[in-house]
Amino acid sequence: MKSKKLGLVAALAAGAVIATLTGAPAASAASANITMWVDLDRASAFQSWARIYNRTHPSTVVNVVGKDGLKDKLATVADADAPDIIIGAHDWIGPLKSSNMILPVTIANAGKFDARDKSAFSLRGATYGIPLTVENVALFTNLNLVKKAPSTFAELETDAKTFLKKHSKAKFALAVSPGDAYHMYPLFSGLGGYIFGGSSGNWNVNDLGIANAKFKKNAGLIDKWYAENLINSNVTGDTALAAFTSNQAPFYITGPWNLDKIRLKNINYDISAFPTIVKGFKPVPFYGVQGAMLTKWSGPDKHNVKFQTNAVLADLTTKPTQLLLANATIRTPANLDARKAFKDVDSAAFFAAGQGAVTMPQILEMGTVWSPVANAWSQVKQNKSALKRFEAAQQTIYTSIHK
Amino acid sequence: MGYTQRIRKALISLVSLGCLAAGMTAMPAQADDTPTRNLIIHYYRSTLDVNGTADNGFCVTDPCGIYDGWNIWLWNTGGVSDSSGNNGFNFDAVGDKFGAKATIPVSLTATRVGFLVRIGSNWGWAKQDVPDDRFAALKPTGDTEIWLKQNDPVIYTSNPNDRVLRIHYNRASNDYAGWDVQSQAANAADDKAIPFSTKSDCFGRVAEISVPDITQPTQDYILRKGGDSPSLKSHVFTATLSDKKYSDVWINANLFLGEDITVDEPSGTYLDLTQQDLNPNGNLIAVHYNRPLQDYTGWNLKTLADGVAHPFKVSDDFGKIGCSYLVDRTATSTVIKIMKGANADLFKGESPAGLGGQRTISVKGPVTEVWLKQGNPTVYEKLIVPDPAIQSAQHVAPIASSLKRGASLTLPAVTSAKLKISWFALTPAVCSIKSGKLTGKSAGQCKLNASQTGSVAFKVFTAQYRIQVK
Repeated sequence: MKSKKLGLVAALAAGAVIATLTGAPAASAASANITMWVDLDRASAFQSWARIYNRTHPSTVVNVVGKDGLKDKLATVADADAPDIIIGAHDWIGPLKSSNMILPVTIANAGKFDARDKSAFSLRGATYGIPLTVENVALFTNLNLVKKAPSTFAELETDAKTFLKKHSKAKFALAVSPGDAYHMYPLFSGLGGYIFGGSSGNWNVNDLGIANAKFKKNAGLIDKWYAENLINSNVTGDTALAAFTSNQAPFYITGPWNLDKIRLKNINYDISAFPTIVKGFKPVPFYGVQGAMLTKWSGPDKHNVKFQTNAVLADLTTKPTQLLLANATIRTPANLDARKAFKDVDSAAFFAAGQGAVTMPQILEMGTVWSPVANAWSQVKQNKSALKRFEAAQQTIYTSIHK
Repeated sequence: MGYTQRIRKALISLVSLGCLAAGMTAMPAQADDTPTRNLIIHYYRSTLDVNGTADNGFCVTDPCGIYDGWNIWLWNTGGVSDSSGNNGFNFDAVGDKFGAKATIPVSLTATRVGFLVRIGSNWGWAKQDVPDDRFAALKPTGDTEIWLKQNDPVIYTSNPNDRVLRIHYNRASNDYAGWDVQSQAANAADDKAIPFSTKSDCFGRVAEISVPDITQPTQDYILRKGGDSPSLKSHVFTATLSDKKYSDVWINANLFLGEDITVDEPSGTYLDLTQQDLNPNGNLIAVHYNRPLQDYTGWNLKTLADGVAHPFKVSDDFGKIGCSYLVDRTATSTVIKIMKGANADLFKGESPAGLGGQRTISVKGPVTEVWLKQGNPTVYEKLIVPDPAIQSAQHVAPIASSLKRGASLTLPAVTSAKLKISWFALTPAVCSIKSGKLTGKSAGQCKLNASQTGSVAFKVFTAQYRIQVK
């Protein structure tokens, strides 16, 4: 009898050993809070996703925080409040990598992504983001003012002239801010301009194309556009939007981020690719990929949530997640299965207009480009010759890179 | 195998398994030298207890101190400091500014330590502070610190005697660079430099000095510029501390011909500062206001008593801060509205006329600080978490992709958020909308816009539909 009792105690003690052993791995994969920063425009979409993710992953709580200007806020945020994952454009990786804010990631389901979208997030052989959605600008035509979207640049100019004649108070016909090199890129590439030689993930900073010989041949057209009031150097992003949505300009260069504002004004619009300006040069926009980046705070010396963030990043690559995000943000998804299933007429039009687009250079040197090129477009008062302005811009950029 | 042998074998296996289990679970604790944490009890008494006098043998000093004879009877400490049958745990010989202090080792497994503060030894004691048994809930990890006050059953998790002196400093030049407050070495707040806030509280900048010693009636401090460098401009002030959590002093720097008068204490010159115990403008009402979408342009804090609109000038992590002054220092409440032109920040179901959006603030003395959220009638008296800037998305039930000429279909009237949808036919020759119904007029593509402008909680919704009219 006595021995029986002891046997039971021994069995209990053995049970305790097993419990201790099986308990150990569970402790290492303990529950965790993941903080994700998203810009205010996309925050609701990611919150909808997080609600589903948190329900299906009880050990992880993803807190989606809407942040304005989130890239700049990374520099000053306290460790405790810092995000583990940020959602942003692929061209952030150059500056963020150089300040050691982000960590390399592995793209799960990599076969389901375009090489173009994957290369957007790669820098010197490493990948720094999960492609989520893609975006680019396109040409909007106000069908209340013009019968149809122009199929040639000559048609666009004729429509513009007719419009300006009819509307004597209008100061331009193509609503776009010349002081914004990103939005001006279709016109720039349509004249033969490029920023760096090479290709995405492999840019050659020694090959600057801002004032290349072919572009220089066509730069005189810019002076002509100003002269005929097709574009106006005083236009800003806000005035361009206001002009298009108040029927004060028949053409507008913008991206999907302004769809809500245009639709709210009940403008009958058409979205199309930019028509060819000079034979041999397809006017293409910059191509941007929005993605999820892993921050340094997820690492073992900070929040130590790499195990959980890897699971989150893997989920973000899947078709259902990408489709949900695409529908909620009206952007084409990066996952090819989701892209097939995504049915939105406007997004399809944007995507078509982005065929052949140039992936925005994600290297740090791109930071030296924006301002000089914007100035070359817009500072017509300083120098009336576009050719001279673009030559000066190229010189400035060369000096900045090689100083 | 004999009976004895079987027992021995069972015992050996039990012991070895037990050791294995104990070894595995206790390993981390051993690495950190058991026990690894403490329960720290701070105890404050203000009166000498009759049972603690030298007459009854508990007090060994003459005259007796107010803490003499008091000790802590402990249980549930995980077996580390339990008092059962012992003399209880003694307070340290030297306490801190709060009073007596005891640092009690507790086991890592202890979660809720029982205790009594008492005079006496073993199971018999002469007196205990607070009649009931008390329990300190331990933090999951690390030390736990609690504060107790004589005859007060509350177990405080932060120092309840901590008072704060707020020094509000106004410089007409708005130049605060280099200025700080040095608390005097002789005082309880210690000898340290306290910087002014980086943001204005509407009067000027604020420096807060924490005063943990409840017996201290005044606080001496030096208002200075230049830190410890020899060229400092400084002036010594004394402020009276009230028995409330916050005491305020208001200092105006009167600039003489635009220059501070240089302080050189030995030669008797001084910085021309005036210190007042009351804000010279009246009682300050600081309203922190949050709009989740950060759309503050045009919104003002309107005080209904004088009809003045005060702009929200200063920002903090919560949102924007607007300030007004109550000249009548006897007023115990004030009524405000948040206005943008003729529009008020309204609550659900309110109309803009009359009382719509009106909030009543109860005045707490020289400084009243409240936190308000857009569209929420509650006046919060403590910092709260603002509403998320994230609006939920809305969606609309699907509609048919084709329609016969002359036929109609009913369009959804509201979004998933029950907000009204505005419909617009972009191709009026092909289709038209009347009373929420879409009618096909001629063959072709009908372009249809749906829009809903959203709310604080819901994001704007727009969609374009293409319906083939056949």
